[in-house]
Amino acid sequence: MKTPVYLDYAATTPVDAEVARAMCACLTDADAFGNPASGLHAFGHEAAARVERAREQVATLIGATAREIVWTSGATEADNLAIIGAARFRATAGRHVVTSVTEHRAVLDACRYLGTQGFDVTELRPGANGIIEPGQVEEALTGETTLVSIMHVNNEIGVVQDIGAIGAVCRRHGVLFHVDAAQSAGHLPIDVVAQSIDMLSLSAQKIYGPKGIGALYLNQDRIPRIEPLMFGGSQEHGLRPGTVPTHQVVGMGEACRMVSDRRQIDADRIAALRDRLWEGIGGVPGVLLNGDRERRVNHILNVSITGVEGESLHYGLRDLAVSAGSACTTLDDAPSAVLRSLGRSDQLARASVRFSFGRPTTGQEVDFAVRSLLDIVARLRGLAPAATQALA
Amino acid sequence: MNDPGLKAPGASHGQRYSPLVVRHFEQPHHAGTLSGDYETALHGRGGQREQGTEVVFHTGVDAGLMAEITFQAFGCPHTIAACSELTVRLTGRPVEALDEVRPDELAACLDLPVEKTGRLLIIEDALRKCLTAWDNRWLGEK
Repeated sequence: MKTPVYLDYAATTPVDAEVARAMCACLTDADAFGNPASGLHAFGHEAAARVERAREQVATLIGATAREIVWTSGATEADNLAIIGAARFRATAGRHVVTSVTEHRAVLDACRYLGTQGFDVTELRPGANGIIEPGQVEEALTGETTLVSIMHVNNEIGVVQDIGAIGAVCRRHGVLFHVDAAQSAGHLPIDVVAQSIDMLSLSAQKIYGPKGIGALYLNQDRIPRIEPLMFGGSQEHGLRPGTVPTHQVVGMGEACRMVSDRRQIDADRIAALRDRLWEGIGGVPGVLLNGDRERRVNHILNVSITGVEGESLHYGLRDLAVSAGSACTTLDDAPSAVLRSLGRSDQLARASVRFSFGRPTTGQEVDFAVRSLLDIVARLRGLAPAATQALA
Repeated sequence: MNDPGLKAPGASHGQRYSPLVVRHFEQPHHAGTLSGDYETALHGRGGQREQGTEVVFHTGVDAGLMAEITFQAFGCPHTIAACSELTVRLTGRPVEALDEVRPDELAACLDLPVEKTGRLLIIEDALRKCLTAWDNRWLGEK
């Protein structure tokens, strides 16, 4: 087994070989290098055909229609375009947006930017389980609210929000609903119609597609227009000007098709790996699961560990490629806001580890992770002063 | 979309810790409590766990010499390494040597980043408490 063992699939996934082949074909096929916007010749037509086929594949994954998909550089751009673009376009209808403190920075910072532009921003706090209840959203709505943005799956702790119920609340009140689905697409079923979603952000790099490509779903019936953030061309209906990168979008389309075909197979297998890890470490006193025990996605497991210091914990785990719930490299780095919002202390937020699993993950790798974690925790606890070995 | 709130712990360890720090972290010297009985046992604690760093030194003194000095630490690899290094340096020395520890010299030896300087002050604080305990060792008998 090769080390470090990669258990950071929530950060990014490797590109699937089949996806890479489809992308390479766009770069090497003699008839596919054209600009998809070149409508006067066959080279452009071939590229455009591949782009539109990919658009259809992305739309299929979320129950949308192809014309509702806008290509972006990733979920971060999609989040910014959705939140800022929609809020600006509908500013005359109201200047209040609702989100949660556990959102990805792409959402939070976009909302906070709106806060500097005369919008009111409400950041909801989840319960200790990381869940935002639909009732919280409803209570936060005012006559000025135009937009709610709540992520489907939290990128740090993996809890699943009830976006269908939140969507229903928003629809009932005539408020736009945006969902960051970067961590859920391909892992959980998404039906933008049934779940009353108006805008949804997607990323290819989380589902074995390439980095640098994502998409924004825009419900054409509910929000036919938003303000663009960039200018300089009519591509993507003027919402995202610039030449569409054929190989990138084809990669995302292929990744969406594959992840859709394999979803149940991957889900069952990855859930078993996650459970195997938890069975190995969950019984150790002071190993605390972060986030709701039941409402969680299969591929993410986040734990905080009492009695150990975060930076030493992470250094001791350097044979595992995992993520920390916070950065501990300098004194200035704050502990994870997500974990703090769950009520975890600064120390526990720092002494946290996010494991995330993917298609290539093996049981042997999970067993290695269990041994590595147990070894370093025992060693660091053994080093700690007696008075501070109490588990709390 | 990346995870700016999350950092991959293994990403830059090669640069972050000097080989000496790594050696001490992997195999700390004199970790734990005193193993023997001594004429005088001194204990000094510095820092607070809630603040991220807590260290305790235990010193066994015979005939004015630190026959054994051990440490316990809740802290980062630099903290553990600094404690370990100090126990190596101080074992067998007169108790007064506790007053000769120079944080700047230790920082240079361990290639400590400047933001970690505060950890050395915590360690120095714990050592000074041992020294204070030594200086006051007769007070309880008077």
